[in-house]
Amino acid sequence: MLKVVKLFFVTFMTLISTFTYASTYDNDILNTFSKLSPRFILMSTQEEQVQGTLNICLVHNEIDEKIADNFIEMIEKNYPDGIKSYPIKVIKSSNAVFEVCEKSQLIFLFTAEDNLVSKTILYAEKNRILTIAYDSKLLESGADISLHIGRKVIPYLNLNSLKRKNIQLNNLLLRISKIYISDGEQNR
Amino acid sequence: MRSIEFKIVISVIVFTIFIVALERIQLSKSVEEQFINSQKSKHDLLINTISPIVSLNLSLGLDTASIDYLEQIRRQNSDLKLIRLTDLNNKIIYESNVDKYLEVDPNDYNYCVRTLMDDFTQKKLAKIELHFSDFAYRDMQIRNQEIGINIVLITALLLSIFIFFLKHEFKALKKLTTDVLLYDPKLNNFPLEEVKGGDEVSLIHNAIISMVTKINLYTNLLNTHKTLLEERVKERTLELERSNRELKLLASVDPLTDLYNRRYFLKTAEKVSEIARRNQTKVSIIMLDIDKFKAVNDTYGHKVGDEVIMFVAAALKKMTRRSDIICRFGGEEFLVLFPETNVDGAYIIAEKLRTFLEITPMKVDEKLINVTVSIGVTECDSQSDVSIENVINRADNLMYQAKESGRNRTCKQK
Repeated sequence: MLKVVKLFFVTFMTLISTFTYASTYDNDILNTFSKLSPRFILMSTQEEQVQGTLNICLVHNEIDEKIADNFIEMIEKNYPDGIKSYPIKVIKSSNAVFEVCEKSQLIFLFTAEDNLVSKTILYAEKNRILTIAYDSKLLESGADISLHIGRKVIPYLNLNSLKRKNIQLNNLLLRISKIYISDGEQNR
Repeated sequence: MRSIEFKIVISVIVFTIFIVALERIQLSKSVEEQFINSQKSKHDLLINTISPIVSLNLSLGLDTASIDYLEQIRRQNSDLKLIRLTDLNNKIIYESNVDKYLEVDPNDYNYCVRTLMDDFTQKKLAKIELHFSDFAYRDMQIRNQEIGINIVLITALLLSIFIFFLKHEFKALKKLTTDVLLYDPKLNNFPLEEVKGGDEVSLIHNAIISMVTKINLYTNLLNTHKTLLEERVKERTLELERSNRELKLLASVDPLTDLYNRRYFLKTAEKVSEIARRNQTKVSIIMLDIDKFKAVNDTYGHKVGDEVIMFVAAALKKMTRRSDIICRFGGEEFLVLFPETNVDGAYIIAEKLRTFLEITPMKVDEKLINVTVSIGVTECDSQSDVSIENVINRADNLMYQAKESGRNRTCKQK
């Protein structure tokens, strides 16, 4: 009987995690992202796109709605008066509805299914919007920036995608960051 | 008195030491300044490189990355004694080499400090301090000292070479000085071999040889001139003696008659009377005056008057002995002294003279002039006559007596 219950629990949890794509987020890392995101806009040529307000678009699954709200709070807490005299406006988007992200200079990509990731990356590339992904694996899919979590936390840059969008980053940022090299490039 | 060689050596040594020391001090200062400026620039460059990266890391909340980065910096810069990162509350975020760290003077060029700012919010983030070791400075000082020692050694070597050459040059000069000091124009002992070479000492040597040659030439000329001069002086001395004798004679002789003058007569008569007194012999004197001589002058002129005087003088010379002293006593008056002659003998001569003049007329311009004289004759008394003046006065009185008796006669002392 106990064996049957255990098997049922494992099967249930596996199915839940597979169908909902629900992920666990580290608050500290999220907080780091909340500090970094507005600054990445200002440390790149995206600042030229700013028209009075820094617009950040959060792309997430519906299941991560709360996490997204939490992230917005973090940004507001870290930058209550905005940054460099710019107010910060954060918009949420789920289920590939990108119209709300039209005026954004940056898209923050939470963990999502491949389809949403692909659409988001495609939209960002088309509209030349900087993308930051919570999961560094999304750099392989074409996200621009993530964080390399190792012995220390450092920015992780995908120069190929940045080049495609013709977005240039501040030299200092490049100096402190790690450059992402795709598996294909590594094999070459 | 120090020699020129000594003075030159001392001057050159002092001058060289002064110049080298001055140059060394200036160079050391300059090197030290340049070194400190270079170190400052290097330190500024490092802290200016570090600061924005650490600032960015801190502003992004990447504290671990900052610490890792600072560790990397410490490893790469061996001269860094301390890296200290402190937050706004002076809480140390990172510090390297805690044990070795010593508090330093904030004005020390080895110490740098920067306040880290957030570029976007302009908020102060932290303070970073770097303290560098002074190994490089000490190395530089040791190198500088080594260079200084090398320069001193090279200078000493060069000075030794200079002194050696100077002594060598002065050797020739000393020999020349000895030759010049020993040179005696009489011995003509200066070596006259010309020295080859264009240096100053050789030039001076050859110039001295030329001078010595001229000295020899002029010494010979001078000796010749001296001999000639001595001969000339001898001649001139003889001439002078002759002239003196003539002058002496002129001083004792009457120029018109060539008879002795009054001064010579008085002097000689005194001596003769003195000898006579000592020898107890007789001395007589006659005084003669031409009669009416003023009338002759008035009638025939002074020239004839002079001829009359010369005529009488010639008669006196003719009628007396060589040992008798005849003198023109003044105007037309004559005195004759007869040594070793008594009054009678003198009277005889006086009479012969008077008679001769009386009978012998004088011929002037085809005219005959009769010249007569009045004579007084006396004898010197060795007892009563104190001086010759007494005798002359007595003769004079006797002569006036003859004049008063009618002229052309002789009065004798009785």
